[in-house]
Amino acid sequence: MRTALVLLLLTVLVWPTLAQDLQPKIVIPQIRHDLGDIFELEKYEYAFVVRNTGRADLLIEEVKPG
Amino acid sequence: MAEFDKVIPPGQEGRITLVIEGNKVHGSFSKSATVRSNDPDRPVTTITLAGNEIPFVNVTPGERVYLQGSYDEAVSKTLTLSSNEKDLAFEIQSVESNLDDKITYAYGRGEHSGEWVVTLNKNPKLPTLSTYGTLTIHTNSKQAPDKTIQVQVVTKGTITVQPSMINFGRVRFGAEGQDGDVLNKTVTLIRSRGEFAIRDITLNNDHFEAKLLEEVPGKRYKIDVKFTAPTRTRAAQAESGELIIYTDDPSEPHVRVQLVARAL
Repeated sequence: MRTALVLLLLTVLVWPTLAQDLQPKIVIPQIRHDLGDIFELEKYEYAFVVRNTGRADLLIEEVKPG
Repeated sequence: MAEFDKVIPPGQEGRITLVIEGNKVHGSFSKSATVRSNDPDRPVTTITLAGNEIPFVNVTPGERVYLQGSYDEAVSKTLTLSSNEKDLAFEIQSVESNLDDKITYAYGRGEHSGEWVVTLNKNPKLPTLSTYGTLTIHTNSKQAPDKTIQVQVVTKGTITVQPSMINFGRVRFGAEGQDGDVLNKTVTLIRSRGEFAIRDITLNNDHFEAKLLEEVPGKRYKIDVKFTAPTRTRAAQAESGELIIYTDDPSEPHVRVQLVARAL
């Protein structure tokens, strides 16, 4: 009986931590970049680094320019 | 525009690439994009790309010129051009405009090295008008050789017409063989300086009539405008016309008043 109770308590306490561990975690170290001076008719691009520090695949669902 | 890695495995890194086109931004800019992911703690993140767009050919004070003055008044504006292109001995090669009867222009080297100036003058003998056009400056810039300047030319009149539009509103049609409602309205012409005479008055719609009343000779005139509703031929009929008042003043040879009425 006592063992069962301890197990239940453990499950309740540990489960959320485990679940969180199985989540992806998005980390964008730099969210703003300044290109400096750019010329009128030219095209410029910049690649932002995205890290997944979680424990599941990180899915980028959409990138919507505003 | 954006390109991105759709799946990033745990512990890995991906890229989100934002593209900025220099002709879609102006001056100092900041463009953001919203990133949606399956991270339950952070489903939305905003990333921002900032910068300062500079033209290949710089025009100061700006790419719009407003030349406004009275008849006989000389109005002049000067533009200074320089290039932001490296290793270019910048120069203006020619200038053209579709406003050649309304403005004159000249160009030459500016005070500082690398600077060129374009001077625009309003033709002083322009009658009252407000018009738009362009001035195209051809330079030796390799990237953007043609610079188009928007030009607005305005000659302010000294004759005030009150009102400049008359709306007779809704009037009743006449029965068969008879005219309908008759309405009268008044137009007043006043000149702020100098005297003027009215030479002629014309109308381009038979339902309107006009009669000149001289109030203060040379200074103030009244025109009585009469609208006679037509005989009914259909449910509703809009009548519009234009009253043109011809003066002896070369700076303002005519002034116009728009007329409208709606018969029901």
